[in-house]
Amino acid sequence: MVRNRVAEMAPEHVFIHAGAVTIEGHAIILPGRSFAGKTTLVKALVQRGAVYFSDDFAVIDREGRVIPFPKPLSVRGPGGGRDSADVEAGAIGAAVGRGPAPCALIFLSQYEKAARWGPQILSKGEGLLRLIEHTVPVRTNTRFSLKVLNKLALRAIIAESRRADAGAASIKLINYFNRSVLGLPRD
Amino acid sequence: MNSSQVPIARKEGLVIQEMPEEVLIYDLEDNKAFSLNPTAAEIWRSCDGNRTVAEIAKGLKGSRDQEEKEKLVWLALDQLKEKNLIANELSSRFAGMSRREVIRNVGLATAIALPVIAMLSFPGQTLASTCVASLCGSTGLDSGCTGGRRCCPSQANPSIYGCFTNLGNCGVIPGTAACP
Repeated sequence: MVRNRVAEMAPEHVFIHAGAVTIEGHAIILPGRSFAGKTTLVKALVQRGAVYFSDDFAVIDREGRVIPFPKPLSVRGPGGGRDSADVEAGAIGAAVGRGPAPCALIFLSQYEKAARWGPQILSKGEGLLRLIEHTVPVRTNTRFSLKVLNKLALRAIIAESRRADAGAASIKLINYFNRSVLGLPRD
Repeated sequence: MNSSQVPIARKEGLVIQEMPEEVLIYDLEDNKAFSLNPTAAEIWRSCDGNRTVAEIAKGLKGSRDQEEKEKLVWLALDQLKEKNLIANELSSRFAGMSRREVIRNVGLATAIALPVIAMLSFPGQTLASTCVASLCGSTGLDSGCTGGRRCCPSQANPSIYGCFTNLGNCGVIPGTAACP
């Protein structure tokens, strides 16, 4: 709750409810509501080599860069209930981000049992509209928030897909990132 | 259709974020956000109070058919009016045609993408101001709610917690909850 208040009041930063990691210095933002599976997906990504920035808030500076907010991961039990335990990123072997990173991919995903992976690219306008939904200070600091979101998305791909379990989704997401951002060939 | 009318884009109470082709608009009065696709954005930008509908249509690229382009402009104006993004009254519409019929006609006749305005509303405004200080709002715990309701983040603003009656959809029901 304290973090939520900080997120709402921070004058120099925009907080987005999202997981955040980097690969090769490029940030990936994974917006999602609480209990949408952000931590599970972030955890799966860092276990496959992504650098940990946050499992709760993607914090964006006024230049539109993502800055680390490496709180301990709130890992829930196997039932996915409301009880969670804080786990330090280092304890699961994750490297933690140290400085700002430009955003290369904003990926909106929703967990659905047996969902088929099928990323669709959104236009900047459509994507930002979807991002606003997860932006904490948008009503208290609207002008600044929109300006920063615009900078954030300027060079980023915004895409969405339904996803099944985090393990499989993290592999598909890394492959998608490698192809669409780094320009690597399909595996 | 009366295409001699002069539409004026509303500017007051809005935060406007220009993007390379699209426009993002936040309505501070109604707490709604809009994304205008390139066609809708171009038409909205042209509603400067100096140009008639016919003149706005003439400025659109992609087709030589003035009548079809005017239909396209009216299609955008119809949506802009509906979303309270036009400041003045406009009387004329589609001469008895439904929006769907116009879309079908215009889509076939012009090479211009149809104007599309996507909207996101924030119904949790009341929830935010009244629930944030409640026990649920300050702790995030179900024990902060009465009557068997659950303490969940609202869809409109996930940082704001409120007591929701729909037990099966924690976090996906817009801010319709009452505070304990």
